Amino acid sequence: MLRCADTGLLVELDDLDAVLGLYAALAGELPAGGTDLVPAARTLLVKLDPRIADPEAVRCAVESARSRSGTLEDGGDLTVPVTYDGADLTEVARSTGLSEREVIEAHTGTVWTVAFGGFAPGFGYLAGGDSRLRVPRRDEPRTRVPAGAVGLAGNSAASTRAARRAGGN
Amino acid sequence: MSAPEHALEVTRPGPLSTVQDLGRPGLASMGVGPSGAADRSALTLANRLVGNDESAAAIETTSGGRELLARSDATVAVTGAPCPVEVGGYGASVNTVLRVRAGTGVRLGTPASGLRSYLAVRGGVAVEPVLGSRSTDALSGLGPGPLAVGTPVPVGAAPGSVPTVEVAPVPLPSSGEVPLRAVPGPRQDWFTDAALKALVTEAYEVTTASDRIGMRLSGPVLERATDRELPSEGMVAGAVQVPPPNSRPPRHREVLGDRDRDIRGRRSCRPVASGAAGSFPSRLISDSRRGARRIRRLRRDGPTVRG
Repeated sequence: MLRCADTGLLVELDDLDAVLGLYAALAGELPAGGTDLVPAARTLLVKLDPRIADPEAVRCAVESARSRSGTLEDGGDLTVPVTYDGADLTEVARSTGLSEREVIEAHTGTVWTVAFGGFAPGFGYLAGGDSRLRVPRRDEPRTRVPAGAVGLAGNSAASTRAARRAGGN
Repeated sequence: MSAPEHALEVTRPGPLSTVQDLGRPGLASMGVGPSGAADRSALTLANRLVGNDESAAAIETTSGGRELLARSDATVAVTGAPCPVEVGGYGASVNTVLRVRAGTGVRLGTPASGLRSYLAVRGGVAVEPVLGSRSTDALSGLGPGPLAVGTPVPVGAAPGSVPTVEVAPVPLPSSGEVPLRAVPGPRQDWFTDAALKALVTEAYEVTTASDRIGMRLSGPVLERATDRELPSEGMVAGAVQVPPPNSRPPRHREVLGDRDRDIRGRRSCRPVASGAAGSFPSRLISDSRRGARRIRRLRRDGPTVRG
């Protein structure tokens, strides 16, 4: 667990399942002084109100939550229609060694799971999917991504609802 | 929405005027950032002056230049960056309770120091809340859009409590070089010792590429000890984000995260989080338009904290 000044405690975890388990265990009852939880790929940030939070007490609460790691409710399946004509499709095909058609088949052929939301409302970080689709992040981030764009980076993918500033994918 | 007779109208919005309250904490897992007033103490003071609950919504103005018309009698207070204030053409003061007659204009000039000023109105700005807050979130677009000419600003019913003081003593914001408190953050081991030393000994300038999402800084490059890529992760207000050394475009430089920041950093890692994480950094401004630059310095304060 790493301190973020007096306003956060960053918990490092082995993988996404561990993050979501701890998130589920803590979300029901935030430790005293905790104001928010920010799940990410391998970390969970517990945000703190420095006027109230006792970092040691929060640390203990997180430790005990780790042992009773919870499970998140299954939200059911959602089908997202996608048109594959984005600017980076050719580049994704080149870097994965697949044809554009194979990229599309791999992308649509498996179930993705919304692991957590962010970095803006309606933006789902997706986990799972076809392991052949692992691509590095762009050298130069896109400054704007149109609404509904689907992105790939590392072992995660994301789908945006609203046009927004973007960078990662 | 309130009846129009309890409303203000924007006649000149200035560079940026938004509605802000204490924001939307607790929704990060949905991708909703905290947002809210950049300078919380100024917002809560303005609300206390007019007898509102501290959490009422007010108007945040960046660099002044704003005019409002009162459509009905109103009680207002201006706090934050001390700007020239005129009510009905007569000079008035910041940090005081101001009575404004119907049909009268309230003008906020450009502050000599500081960046954001707050105008609270007795009854609070009563736009429809979104996810429990009336704040404009510049990053996600939640809440009301920035105020434009002709925007009616609905005002809520006056609270039961009445203003109890006429003027609040507030120290002037610092100008020139401003020291900020800082402690090593969760990713300090991604940086060389020289980088950490540079951060706390060298001066960094706030550039004009700064907004409610973050302040882009100009100063010595912070050398990384690794070229690994950090997966996205949560970060706190006041965290310093450092882009990869080869990032393009070159304007991608160190960023001090502010209220509407991304809730997770990307392509970057943060060596330092401000120990005074709160409203203070939001008062800093790039002063290049006046031929002088305000410079800030981060200095080490407190022991290394690692878990």
